[in-house]
Amino acid sequence: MNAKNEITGWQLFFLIVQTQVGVGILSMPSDIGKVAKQDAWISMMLAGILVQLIILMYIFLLSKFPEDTYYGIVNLCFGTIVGKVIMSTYLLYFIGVLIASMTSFHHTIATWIFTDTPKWIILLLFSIPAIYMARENIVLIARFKMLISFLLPILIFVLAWVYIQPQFLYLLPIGGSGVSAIISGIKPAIFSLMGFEAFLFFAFYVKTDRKKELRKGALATAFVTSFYAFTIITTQVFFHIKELIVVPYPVLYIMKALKFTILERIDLLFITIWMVIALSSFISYLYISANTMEQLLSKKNHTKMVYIVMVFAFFGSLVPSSLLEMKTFMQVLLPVSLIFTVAIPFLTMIVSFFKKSAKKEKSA
Amino acid sequence: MKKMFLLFICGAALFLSSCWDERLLKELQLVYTVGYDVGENGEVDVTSVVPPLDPAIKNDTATFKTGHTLRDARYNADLNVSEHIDYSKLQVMLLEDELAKQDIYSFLDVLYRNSRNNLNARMAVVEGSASDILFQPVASQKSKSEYYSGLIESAELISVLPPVSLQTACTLMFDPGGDLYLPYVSYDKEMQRAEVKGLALFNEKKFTGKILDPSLSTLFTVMSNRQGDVMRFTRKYTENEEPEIANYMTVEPNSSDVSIKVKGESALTTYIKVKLKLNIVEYSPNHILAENKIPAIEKWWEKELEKDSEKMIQVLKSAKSDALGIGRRVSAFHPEQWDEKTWKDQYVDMPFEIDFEVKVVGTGIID
Repeated sequence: MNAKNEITGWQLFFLIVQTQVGVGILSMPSDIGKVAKQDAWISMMLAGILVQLIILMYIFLLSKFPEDTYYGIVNLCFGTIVGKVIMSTYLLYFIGVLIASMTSFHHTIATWIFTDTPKWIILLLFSIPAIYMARENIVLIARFKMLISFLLPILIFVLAWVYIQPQFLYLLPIGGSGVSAIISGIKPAIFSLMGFEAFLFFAFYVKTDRKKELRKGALATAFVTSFYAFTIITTQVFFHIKELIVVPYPVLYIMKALKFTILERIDLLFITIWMVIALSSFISYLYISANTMEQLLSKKNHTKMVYIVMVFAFFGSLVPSSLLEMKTFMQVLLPVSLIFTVAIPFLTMIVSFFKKSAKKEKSA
Repeated sequence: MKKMFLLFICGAALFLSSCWDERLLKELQLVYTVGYDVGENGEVDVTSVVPPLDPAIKNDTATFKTGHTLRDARYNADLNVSEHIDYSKLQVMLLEDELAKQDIYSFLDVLYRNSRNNLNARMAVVEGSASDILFQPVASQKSKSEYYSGLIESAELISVLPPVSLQTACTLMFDPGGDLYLPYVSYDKEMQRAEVKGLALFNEKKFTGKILDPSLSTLFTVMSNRQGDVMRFTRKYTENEEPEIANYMTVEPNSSDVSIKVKGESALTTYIKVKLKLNIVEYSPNHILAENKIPAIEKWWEKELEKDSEKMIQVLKSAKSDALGIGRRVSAFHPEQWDEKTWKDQYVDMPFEIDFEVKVVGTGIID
């Protein structure tokens, strides 16, 4: 196999897109709609801009130390001991993300298709291909993500049927829900864009022509934001906002209501296709957490780490048994994610200013 | 390592062979048509029509059960059938008019909540009891369970009814700027058939008791831009021709363009502009083209349709039903004047300007 362990800018693009897009997109329109009402798409656009700024910060930080991984930079800035502590919190956080990702996957499947199938079976069948993929090196994963990306337009294709009888009036008046509602809508919108932090970890593998190629990767969030904005607008011209709020999976609900000449219930077909996308997002996180563990323990190979992390994630995700418990877990995890995606990289960047100058003094 | 993994895969494959969620057709009794009535003590009477299992039996059977909720009644219905009763292929549900006068969302909730249900099912309000109608025989129809959905779908085809599925009904119920409307069906004892009587108008989630009769509901379908494949208007054009039938003219619009706008500063007015292109399909005193009658005919149809539309708006207003979704436009374009609570009073007093623009584009293959 290709031992170079190096990816191109476009591969980075797809890696990040596939980390961001998961089962979340199926429920995201009503999560944001609850807060920002008919202006949810504006919140999404604003969130997209914010995330783009965060990505710029990542690029800035990473291109300062092109030789190091993100954890390498953290260690450099805070020293090895603090660095290790930060790394282990990252590991815990990513296991949390894995658990959240698995439980929400299971919840979707259990409410829409397999109501009676035991949870552990669904999760087991989900983890086997995930392990199989995540134990490989980054090049293979990136190729897999590019390969399955043709599944993304299926969502657009199916939802396009809504535009036969759209109610654009439901989007009006634009800005009618008020500035404060739009701004508080940014919060759930950023949460739905989560996954962009993958940039911190995957950008390291872009080695040739770094500046230009990283910019391609940064386009990923712009793509996902517009993809999400399309989904939000489509659900809102189909549902009245008051209805949208009570429908937790609006995207699937639309598909359930569509009827074609031969096909009915395309939501079921769609979920089976979308499982692959959900899986792919999970694989990214699994790879990143195994990678974190590898660097934390200073090992050479991440394959064994994948198994260890997976065991934790699997049993962890069996714990939350009710919908309410799952929601509470999410409510804790999401604000915490801001610490790991924004606060720590930002602090690292600040510290790195001083570090660099210190280094220069030394060499001088 | 590789061998271990292969073994693991083989082991995992064992899990795939069994299925917790299988539903075999032979163990299910599929219900296509269901009727809801208000029972005693606020219970719900559910009448389910099921196709016969034994091919030797010609007629459908109807089971009738009572329960506190719909689910409860269905649960009880399982006591009467040898299979498990299943509503996932439901095609039509009939609501008793008395029941429809209550908040009907409570009756429909179960259908939206269960992921197995078919959201394309049709609904209708029936005159009198739904269970009575479902126990009545239907002439020349082998399968009663598919009759009612066909009845409604054929009325949609000729544009007498706008298509309303469970899903569209749900959106209309939640939308404060628009009201629900459903087909209104009654049973004709002499003909032994049911009949679409027009469109039942709702105020928010409750049936008002007011109905748009088929000629007006066709106009409504045009204005809400939901017409089917065929649409026809027949009106009396002249008074003195012999025989009587020669006085009537039938036209088929082949394209329509509707714009509904709400304008005004302090007092809002609704402007409805409809452009129709007609084909004259039946008019026995010929020579329409030769005598250059077309401009006169166009004028006359414009007047006639405007008159009828006024009538239709009056019915809508008397029912306090904003079925055309005028409120949606007020909230979108005049948010400062939009108030969910007082909207209906504002609506009843709102002036409507209706303008038809008719163009005759064809007269068939004779003049």
